[in-house]
Amino acid sequence: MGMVTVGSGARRYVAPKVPCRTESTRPLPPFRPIAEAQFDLRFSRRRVRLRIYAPRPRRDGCGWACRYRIDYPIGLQSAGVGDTSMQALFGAMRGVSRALYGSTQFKSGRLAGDRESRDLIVPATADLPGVAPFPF
Amino acid sequence: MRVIGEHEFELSDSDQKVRARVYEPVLERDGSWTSYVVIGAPFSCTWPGGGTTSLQALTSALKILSIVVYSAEGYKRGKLGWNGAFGGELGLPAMHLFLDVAPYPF
Repeated sequence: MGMVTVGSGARRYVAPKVPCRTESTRPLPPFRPIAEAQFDLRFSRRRVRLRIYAPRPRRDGCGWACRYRIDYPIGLQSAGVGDTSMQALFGAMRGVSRALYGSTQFKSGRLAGDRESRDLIVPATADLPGVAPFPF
Repeated sequence: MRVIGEHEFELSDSDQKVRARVYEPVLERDGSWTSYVVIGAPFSCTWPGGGTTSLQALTSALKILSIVVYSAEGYKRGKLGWNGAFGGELGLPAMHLFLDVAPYPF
């Protein structure tokens, strides 16, 4: 785009169009996370990083799997599974919730969200109400 | 934007499926994150789930989806279903505020 000539012969600047966000249903690259967060670990300079990856069809053809990874010291790699990609996403969120709120680091008060909040953004599963009062 | 989660609901009075999609969180110009939820007809709605991190945006989107489907009139009347069953579980957890109507906790 740039400079264009208008009817009177004068030239004026026309801003280039911002490309619109187009929809795509192509599978995402397998190793790029779709969601990430980092949590503070008190009394340590270390931060605990969480990554959730895009759901993908399972190799055995039975439904979908959504992988997630939580770094040291929790140190977990697992996946949520389901009949649909949405169920796999929810399954991954449940797994992340149980791993974070069920960790010794959270129970001892060392694992914290932003501004030292106990809420780690992730909703707590129904089986953790006494430990983490942050329901879905 | 890419679809990261898809789920289909059924209507008791129609062969038409209701498709729900959640899109990958995207970074906005102001530094916040947004993950969109799009639900097809008869809902025909698009909702943004926002947050300061991609995880928070995704969590918001999943919560919005749950709220919209379990609070729908069609669900309360038993017209919205999943896997051949209507008025029950829609294959997704319900938010804690709706557990009296839909006892399917996260």
